[in-house]
Amino acid sequence: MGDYLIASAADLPSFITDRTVTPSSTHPLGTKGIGEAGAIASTPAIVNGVVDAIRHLGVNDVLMPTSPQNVYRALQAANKGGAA
Amino acid sequence: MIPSAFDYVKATTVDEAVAALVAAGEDAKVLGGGQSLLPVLRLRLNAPSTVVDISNVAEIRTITDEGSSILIGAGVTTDEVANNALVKAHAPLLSMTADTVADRAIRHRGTFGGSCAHADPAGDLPTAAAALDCEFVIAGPGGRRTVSASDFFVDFFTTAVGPDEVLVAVRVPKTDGWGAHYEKFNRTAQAWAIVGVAALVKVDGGVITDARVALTNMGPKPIRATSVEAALKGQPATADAIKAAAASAADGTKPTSDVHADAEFRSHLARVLTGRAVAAAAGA
Repeated sequence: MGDYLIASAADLPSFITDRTVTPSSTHPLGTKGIGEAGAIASTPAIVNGVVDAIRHLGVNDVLMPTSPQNVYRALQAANKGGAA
Repeated sequence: MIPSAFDYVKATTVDEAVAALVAAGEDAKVLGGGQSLLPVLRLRLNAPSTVVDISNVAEIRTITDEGSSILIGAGVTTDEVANNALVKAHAPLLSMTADTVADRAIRHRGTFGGSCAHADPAGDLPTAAAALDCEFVIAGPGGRRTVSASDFFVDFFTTAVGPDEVLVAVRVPKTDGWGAHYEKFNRTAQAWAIVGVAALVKVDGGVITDARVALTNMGPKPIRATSVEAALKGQPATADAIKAAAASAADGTKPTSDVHADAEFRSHLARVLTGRAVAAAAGA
């Protein structure tokens, strides 16, 4: 656990929770599966966010996890290859 | 896990603690705030025959103004070091470094002396002690001796404190007139430093006249970045001059590679953080 780096309250931004209700049009009860839906979208959202932040430096992809070291390596590789 | 069985001695004086260590032999361990030793015992990374508890030794719980220095008992908690008025006024590098250690609960239990005696290469307080040129007062069966920071830290988790000795206090020279800053890079708020940099800078008329820079986790023990210190002297206290001097921060170091950072990334961090720490200390 010492190396797992579980985020604590001190690492999180403040945020507001809300809810959205959109019944499914393809099921008589309007229901739909959830479960992992949010988790699946969050990973590409974060990676795309990081790439978008440094795209102007010539970076088109960052390996997961988007650790400081992986971001640094992507920046170094873009720097060596010249800005795209 | 549950630690292996051990004998427990609760010392009330330094002499009692030393006597207990002598009686117990080589594999006895000293217990201070327990923030390093207890996890080690619970993971069974160590199984000492005897644990000598010094947390009730009154002598090591005090902070004393010695004039040109502050004597901090080895049992003073990290939280006290972070918030003590004398330390904040005359050794702000130490108080601001203490304030970055782990979390508040650990700072209230863990001790400055314990962190130094444990000598984890990722520990923040040993680096501040190295930058401050602290002296370490060690008690043993032959009496007391004083060791400089450069001689105190020996290797990974190894200090000059012998198996029958106890760290009693750390003498912290006052740094009135110096700017100070500790810059730490970690991934979550309470994690160990991936790299840390302690900087003390003296500026006179916009020129850096003296500088001390020490690195956390760039080797087996705190390392003084002597080439940066030399390069800073005589330079204007400007962002560009400081950045240029910081370029040699990782020279001569052999940082480890682990899951958080390889040696090359650690070297990059050392250069960047040294620039930030020195700039902040110099007010640049």
